[in-house]
Amino acid sequence: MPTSVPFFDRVKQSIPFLLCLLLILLGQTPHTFLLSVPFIFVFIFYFAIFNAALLNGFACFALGILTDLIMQTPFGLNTFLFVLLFFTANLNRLFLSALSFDKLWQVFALMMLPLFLVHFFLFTLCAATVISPAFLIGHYLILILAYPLVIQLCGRLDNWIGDQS
Amino acid sequence: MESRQFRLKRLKTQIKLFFPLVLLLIAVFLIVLGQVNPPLLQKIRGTAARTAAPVVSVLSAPVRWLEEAVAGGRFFLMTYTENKRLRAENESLQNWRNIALHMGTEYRELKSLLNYIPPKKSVAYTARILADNGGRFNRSVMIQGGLSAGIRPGFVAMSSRGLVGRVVESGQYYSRLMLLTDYLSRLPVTVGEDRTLCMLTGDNSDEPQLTSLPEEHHIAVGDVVMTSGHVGLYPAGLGVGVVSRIDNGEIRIALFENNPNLTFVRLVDFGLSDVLLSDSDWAEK
Repeated sequence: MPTSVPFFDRVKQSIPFLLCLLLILLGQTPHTFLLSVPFIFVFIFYFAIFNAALLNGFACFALGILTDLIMQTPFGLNTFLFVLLFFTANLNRLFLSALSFDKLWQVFALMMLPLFLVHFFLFTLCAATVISPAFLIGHYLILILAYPLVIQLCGRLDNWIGDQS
Repeated sequence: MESRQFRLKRLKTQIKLFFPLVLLLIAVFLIVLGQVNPPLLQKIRGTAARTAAPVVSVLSAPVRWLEEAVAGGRFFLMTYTENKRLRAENESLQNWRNIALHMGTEYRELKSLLNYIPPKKSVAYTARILADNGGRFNRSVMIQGGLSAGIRPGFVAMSSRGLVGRVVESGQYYSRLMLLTDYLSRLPVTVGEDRTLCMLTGDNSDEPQLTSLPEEHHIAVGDVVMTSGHVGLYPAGLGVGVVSRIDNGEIRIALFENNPNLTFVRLVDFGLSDVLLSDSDWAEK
């Protein structure tokens, strides 16, 4: 069955994208503040640095559009942020991939800060309303604290897909 | 031949170089497009949300079970205290019942004297909340039941405590409900005993604020807020909340129904959906 191998490889390679999609959908489940935290940023950050073949710029763009469509946020808002994060991390991947784990964590925390601010200002501009900063700060802190766990998952997933391929 | 290959290679490199910029520019264009909000985009958004609803419903099942289990356990632990409280409440309600019966008779008699025309009978449905569309920035939820169940935009969503919001979009099997706290929600209300007319404006916070106030008013903390019936999106006299605080002229309202864990809502058709019809719909009618 020589034709089936590339197909399964492709399925495996699309797992990060599908997982991100699952995260978006999980964020929609009612009464779960924790699941609405945008862990997808960690996924994009990891794959932009370590394996952009599994989650490239186009995939981030598509994920952004899907997020905006499903979450009913101002159209293009998440698309812009995902693409911005991806290319910022991807263009600096040589420098970032050489960093130790804790340094990378700090860089992620630093990168998320302006990104959340851009999110806040763009949303305010698009929706003409100011959202609660406490909500955003809560999301930011949880995202930074959960970083080691999510990045572990990304690393294991990346290794597993690499081994399988 | 070589120069062609070289040119192609150079072109590829240039595309690679500008690719991030192009994607970012497209994203910016999408933001602008989103602000124009053409009908096609609205349709796509509606379809996407409705397509995601069944998946989210399945994904949220474990959360729902957990919630029910916790609620069951809590209920079991609270039974004794709850029973005591209910007995006391029952006694007080018996007194109220007698008063209500007396007032009911009086009301019917007065109505017959005035030749009163009663309002149209409302139809109600109960729907489960499936997905929290809001996520980080909006306050809207996806509910089970759409056009096939007779649920249409304009239906008013209520809970046992008070007003929740209204249906703004209906698909075949799912509908989207805009909560009173959403930043797009505007509700004409009356406040207090002198019925000051103003607007309840959502801003994604738990406590929406009162806007469009008259220059002189006597609104105080504790005043009850009710729908005014203006514009026609909501009938008059539905309980909304109470004035919770007044800071530097900013008046905030504590909604009667502000439970973030609301699982079911009652959708009531007060016959006001016609208000939402577009010009073409009216022409068709």
